[in-house]
Amino acid sequence: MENNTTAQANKASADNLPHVILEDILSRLPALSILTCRRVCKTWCKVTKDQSFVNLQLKRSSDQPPSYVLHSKFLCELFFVGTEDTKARELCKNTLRIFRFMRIMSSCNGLLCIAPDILDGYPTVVSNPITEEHIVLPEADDGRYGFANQVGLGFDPITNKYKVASIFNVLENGNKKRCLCEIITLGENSWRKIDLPFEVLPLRMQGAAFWEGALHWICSGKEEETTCGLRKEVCILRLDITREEFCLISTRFSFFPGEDEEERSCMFQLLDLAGLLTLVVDVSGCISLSQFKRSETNGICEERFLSIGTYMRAEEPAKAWQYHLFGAVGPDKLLLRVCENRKGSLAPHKIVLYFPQEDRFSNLEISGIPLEFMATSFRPSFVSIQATSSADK
Amino acid sequence: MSITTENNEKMITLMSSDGEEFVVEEAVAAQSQTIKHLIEDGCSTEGSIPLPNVTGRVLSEVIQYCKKHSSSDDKEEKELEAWDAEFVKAADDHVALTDLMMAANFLDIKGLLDLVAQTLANMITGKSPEEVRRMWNIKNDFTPEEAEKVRKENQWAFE
Repeated sequence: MENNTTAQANKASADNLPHVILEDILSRLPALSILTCRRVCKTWCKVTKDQSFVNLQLKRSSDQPPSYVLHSKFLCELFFVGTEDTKARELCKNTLRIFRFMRIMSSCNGLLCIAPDILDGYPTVVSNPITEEHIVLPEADDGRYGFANQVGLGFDPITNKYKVASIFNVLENGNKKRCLCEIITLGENSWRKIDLPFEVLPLRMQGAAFWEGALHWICSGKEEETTCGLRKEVCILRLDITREEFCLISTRFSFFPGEDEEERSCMFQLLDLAGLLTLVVDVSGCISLSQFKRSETNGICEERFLSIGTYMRAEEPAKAWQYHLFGAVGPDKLLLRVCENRKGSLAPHKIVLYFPQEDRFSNLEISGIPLEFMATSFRPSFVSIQATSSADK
Repeated sequence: MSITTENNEKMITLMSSDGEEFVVEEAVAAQSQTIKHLIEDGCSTEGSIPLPNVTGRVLSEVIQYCKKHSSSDDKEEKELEAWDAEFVKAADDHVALTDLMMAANFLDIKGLLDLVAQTLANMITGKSPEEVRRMWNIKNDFTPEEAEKVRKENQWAFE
């Protein structure tokens, strides 16, 4: 009798749940759990496919810790690691061939922008790895050739459209490098050129970072002759996605290009870490972070500067370690890929949390990860690229 | 019917669907946007405010929450978080939480709505479809073919 009453109460509460309440609860779940809930019943499946749910989940996803994808350098394999368990799952098995020989360049609202380093016929792709929806962007029609291609994906809140902007180098008279910029709004048929009002050259890195309504690239700026040789300033090139206007942000760093400028430029990386635009600098395995914040009064300026300690310092002091910072669970919980810097043999990569305030590392045990990988963090969403790139309704 | 206390706080009476009356300070009750609007529209002067969608059991919990949250200021954020955690724990199971959420939705109390919705979401996270169905007593209304179709749409997530 007692059981019966409880069962009835249960039944009543599940069936009476208004749409808005169910939507509110389910929109707070991590991505994998949302997909699981689609299999519960028809009502739950329908709720999680509504446009209003997609919008709410997207809004909420910014408060959640990021998920990440693990991939090989040229995207032969792609794995998803969510926040609800510690398992890597293989993604996009059937469609991965369209990404081959390309790189994940940027992410925005759960979408990944995937593009080649060199502009010679390979297209740029925008993908939602969760829904496995991809869109291949049109190719530039002028048959241009460019290299050091760095592509960013951003969202324009005024028009509710996504834009993809690419900066790349071309060789001009006398083999002088010049940087050009092109932009396309998803749904448009062709790329538009934007004038770059600064003499900058992109430094080699993984694409661009979307932060506070703008795309950001690392560039080398002004040159200065010093007693030690030519020194170049490192600056951040910022493109406002709505106005399509550039500005330059100066940093505390500079470098001596030396003989191999390409090699040197690998030291830099730019990403949005828990709401702060973060410039990561790697000097011989020592990682420093310069984090930027935007304020009403001072514009964009450095908020804090910190260095990452040494992994397993006490236990294995003789080893050298290689770090790649790819995300943050919070301002003081950084996600790193760490591996032993070995010559000749393979050193397995692992994922590690770093707590800068305590200078402490903590290994994350994740099953099913490849031996070696690159990692990109993103916030999963159910945004449909097709829907956002179709003509205005 | 407007009563004032020694501190000159204006009191109002809330009446649940099962006829239970609760006398609370206006500032406490006004955390509910719904009640606040009723007061502003002058509905409270003619006696108690009837809340036909909320039972006495649930209303007493809601009032407990509103009292705590109207007496605390920002400095006590940590303490308030701990109190919130205990509060939802005391609600015991998802049935009580769902009732609480329906009341928070009707009374339009954003903080309580967020708190309960997040608690319910945490209870669902990582569970299998079968576990979720059992927890909420939901009937699986998919035919085997439909179930297979939904599973296939995002096959990667279930391997």
